[in-house]
Amino acid sequence: MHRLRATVVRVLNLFRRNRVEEDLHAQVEAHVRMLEGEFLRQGLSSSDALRASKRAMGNGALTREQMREERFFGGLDALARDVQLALRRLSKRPAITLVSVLALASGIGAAAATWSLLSAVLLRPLPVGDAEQLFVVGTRSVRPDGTVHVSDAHIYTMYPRVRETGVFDALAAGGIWDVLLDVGDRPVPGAAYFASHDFFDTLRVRPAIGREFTPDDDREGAPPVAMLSHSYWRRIFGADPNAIGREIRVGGNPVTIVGVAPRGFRGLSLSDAPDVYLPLHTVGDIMRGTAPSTNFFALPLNTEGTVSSPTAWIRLIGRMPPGLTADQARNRLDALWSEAVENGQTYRLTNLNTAAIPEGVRDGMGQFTRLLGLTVGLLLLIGCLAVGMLLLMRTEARRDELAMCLALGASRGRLARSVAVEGGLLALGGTLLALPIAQWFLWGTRAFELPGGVRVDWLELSLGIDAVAAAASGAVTSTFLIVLIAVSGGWSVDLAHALTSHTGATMPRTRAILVVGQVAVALVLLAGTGLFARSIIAALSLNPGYDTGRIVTGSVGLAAYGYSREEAAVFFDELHQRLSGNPAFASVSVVLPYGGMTTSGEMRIDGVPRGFPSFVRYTGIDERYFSTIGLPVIEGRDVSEYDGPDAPRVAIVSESLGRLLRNGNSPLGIRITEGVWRPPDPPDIIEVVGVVPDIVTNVTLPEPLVIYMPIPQLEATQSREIVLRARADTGAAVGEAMSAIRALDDAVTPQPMLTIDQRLGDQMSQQRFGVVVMGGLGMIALLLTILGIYVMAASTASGRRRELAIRAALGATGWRLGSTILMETTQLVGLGILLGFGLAWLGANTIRAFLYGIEPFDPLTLVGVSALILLLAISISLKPALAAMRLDVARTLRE
Amino acid sequence: MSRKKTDLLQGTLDLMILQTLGSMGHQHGWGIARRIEQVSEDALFLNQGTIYPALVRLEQQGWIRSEWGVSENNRRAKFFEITRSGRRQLEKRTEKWLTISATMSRLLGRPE
Repeated sequence: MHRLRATVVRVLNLFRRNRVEEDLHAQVEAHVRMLEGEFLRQGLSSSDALRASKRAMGNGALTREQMREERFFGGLDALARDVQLALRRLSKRPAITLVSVLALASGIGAAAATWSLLSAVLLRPLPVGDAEQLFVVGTRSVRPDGTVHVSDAHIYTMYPRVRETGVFDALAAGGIWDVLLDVGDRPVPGAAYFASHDFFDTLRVRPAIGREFTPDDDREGAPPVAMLSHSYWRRIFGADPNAIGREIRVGGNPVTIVGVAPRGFRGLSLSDAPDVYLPLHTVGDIMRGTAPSTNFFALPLNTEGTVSSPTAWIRLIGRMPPGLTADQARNRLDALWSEAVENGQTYRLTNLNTAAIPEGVRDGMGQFTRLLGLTVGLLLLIGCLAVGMLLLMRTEARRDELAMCLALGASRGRLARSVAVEGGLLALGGTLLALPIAQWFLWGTRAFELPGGVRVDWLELSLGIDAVAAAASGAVTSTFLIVLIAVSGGWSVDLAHALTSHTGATMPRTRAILVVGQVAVALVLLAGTGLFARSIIAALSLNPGYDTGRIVTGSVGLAAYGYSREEAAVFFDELHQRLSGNPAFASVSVVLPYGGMTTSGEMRIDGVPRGFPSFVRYTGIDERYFSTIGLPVIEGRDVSEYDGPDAPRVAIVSESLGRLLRNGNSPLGIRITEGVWRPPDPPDIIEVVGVVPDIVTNVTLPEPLVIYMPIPQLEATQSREIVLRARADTGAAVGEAMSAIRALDDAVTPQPMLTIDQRLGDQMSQQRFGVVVMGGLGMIALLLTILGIYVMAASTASGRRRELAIRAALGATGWRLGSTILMETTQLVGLGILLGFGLAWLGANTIRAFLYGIEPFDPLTLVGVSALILLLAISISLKPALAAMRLDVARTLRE
Repeated sequence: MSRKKTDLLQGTLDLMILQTLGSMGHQHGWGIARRIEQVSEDALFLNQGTIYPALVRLEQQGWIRSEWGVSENNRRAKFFEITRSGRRQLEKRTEKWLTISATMSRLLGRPE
């Protein structure tokens, strides 16, 4: 009751501020006069009486302050005034204020954006309901030689078998295919996800509009229906709700749209983004000829293949009943599959969220995100250091003012608050500015690819509430840090000392620590940038001496456009003729990609089976291929027109493969047994007739093992790779090639045509990401560091000028004085570099996985970056050093 | 500065002011301060200025009210007097204070 009354009065007082102030003043004044009168009556002189009465009243300013705090909302009122004052102080040095706010903002912004990215990839990759109950059902088999093979592919009759166990509450199936999509215009390559009718139900995903599939949709021969992905719906139909009931064409088949998947749902793998969803059992109708047309659930038991099973593209997703653990579920499944367990085969359950990250890169993804987190953490640290530095400088510059305030009776708490308010304002500015920076960061990283081909733009990142909360908590934390730094850094002024001494620097130690920290962080970021950049350079110099920047390649697949093999052969012959006559190209070749053999396969060499340490690629070539690429045949001969279908089969091998084939001797004459043949005929024997140098097209295979064979001796498919050597401008050459393809068939859209260098560069996406992000952050860090060093040197020069003057008076030369300043800079930077080396050593393992052809603790990079920082630091300190050299001794000593 | 005198316990100043106004009636700030000093026989260290924040506080809680008037030696001064709720507050606080002080005396082994 009393509190309420007091609050009401205080609120009212806010509106009659002046009157209240006058009233307070008058009361105190009246009191002093009365005291004075009393002292006069006691016989004191009038001046003594005044003094005595003031003494009796105590600290007038403090009293008035306390009265004000009672009258108004003490804290709020004072805060408003502190904010006003702090704004005035900050706007007096706009450049430094701006730099600090920007530093903080880029730290917080990058942190918020990274948080969105990390949570999209690691924390909640799939927007499905109760993801912890969802598992991909796969197998794990131990082979006789002890190697373990895991697969999530659907094999044999897994679906009915798993369903019969009753371990799962629901069991759905689905898989993705590349298709051509059109809405009555040019067909565009896209991706279709074929999903069982209970797929969305099992995942607990509800359509944004329209309906999901029914069991009636999900059978062979049913009228084809589709659900669109949300992004496809937005892109093609402008998010028009009337799209329901309309028709799109998938692989040329008209399909009725019945629903739209919810925003953010894009299948089960982060590296895919289906455009449409179709019922699983219509796959045969839609994919005519490309995919198995049989009902895969009824496939006869196939004991031959594992991944070669025609249903291997399908994944099974089971929802476990609540309370059952993955281990329990797997044990139950295995118990009902005893014949397979005896053969070393067991079920494998992978949580859906884990399975969303491509198998091969699950570790790499963790490392990548750790590295990103570390980088952003460093940037946030730099931001805090910069703001801490600014506050220290301010507090230092205000030392006299603060001392005066204390002498006049201000409480120390009040002064601490004024420093904190300044920090809080900087943090607030940083947070506000962080939001556009975070947006920009998200926008800028769109084009990049995470490990495993996870494209950032597919993640449809947006700054959610959690990211903004992260930014805000970042700001709160940094404010807290800043105030801690500022307060511990010694705002607590020694009153007597401050008022009597003339020297400036009272807290060089704290500032020196900040500078050392900044140097270390800048070093780590710049060294990381250097390492990434050198990795890219290493990748681009994999093909020394070859003009890989002018060789353009691009795949064209005609199967999807309904071409038969013969029609395709005619198409490519015609295309080759057209391109050969075009002056944009110096040379043209058409290549038949022919697959290859993985490390688990074996090949008979001179009758003896053997494996190889990396993928062996088979490529069908024509007689112009090597001359187009610019590869000289270094041993034996090139393929020729005489290597026809009926001639003895021949092959040319890459240098690395040749070395492996006969341990360094010439591989010519070695006979390779053809791996794929039709049993009644005897297997073909292929003789090695030539060797060409390695040409690297995949950065993970710097020693490519390739077998080149003449196309006429191979069973051609409907796909080719066009290889062109541009005469001058590769961009123009790509344009010419595209129009030549269009001229033959307007519907055909080739894969992007890129130079070999561009392809290698694309494979270094993570490293480019590293260069851009770390480089950007590193430059900010470097700028702030140099700024810090300058401030340090300048304040040393002015703060120690009496000492310097005395030394000059005692005979020290100007050069000596100047070098004092430079020495101090060098010492601090040296310490920072040492600390940075330590940090770099600690972080080396995090970055190792992303480097190519270079070690994480690369001396050249580290020394180069250190030298750069030191050089910049010394040159920025030259100005204060010169000031010290030209010190006016007589005047300084008189001060 | 002699600091031998006892510093005021937090909250006791409010009680002193209420008691002074309760016993003396109409009084201005200076009068209150002088009265407290007289009663304490110089045992208390009191910056006279500190009673003003206390007066503001008490008035806002409605325990005292004030009006501007003219003092005995013809000066303009603000006069305070205790309100009815202030008297109730005074009784409550006095009782509490006596309990505490009796307890403290017993605890320290010096019966009143």
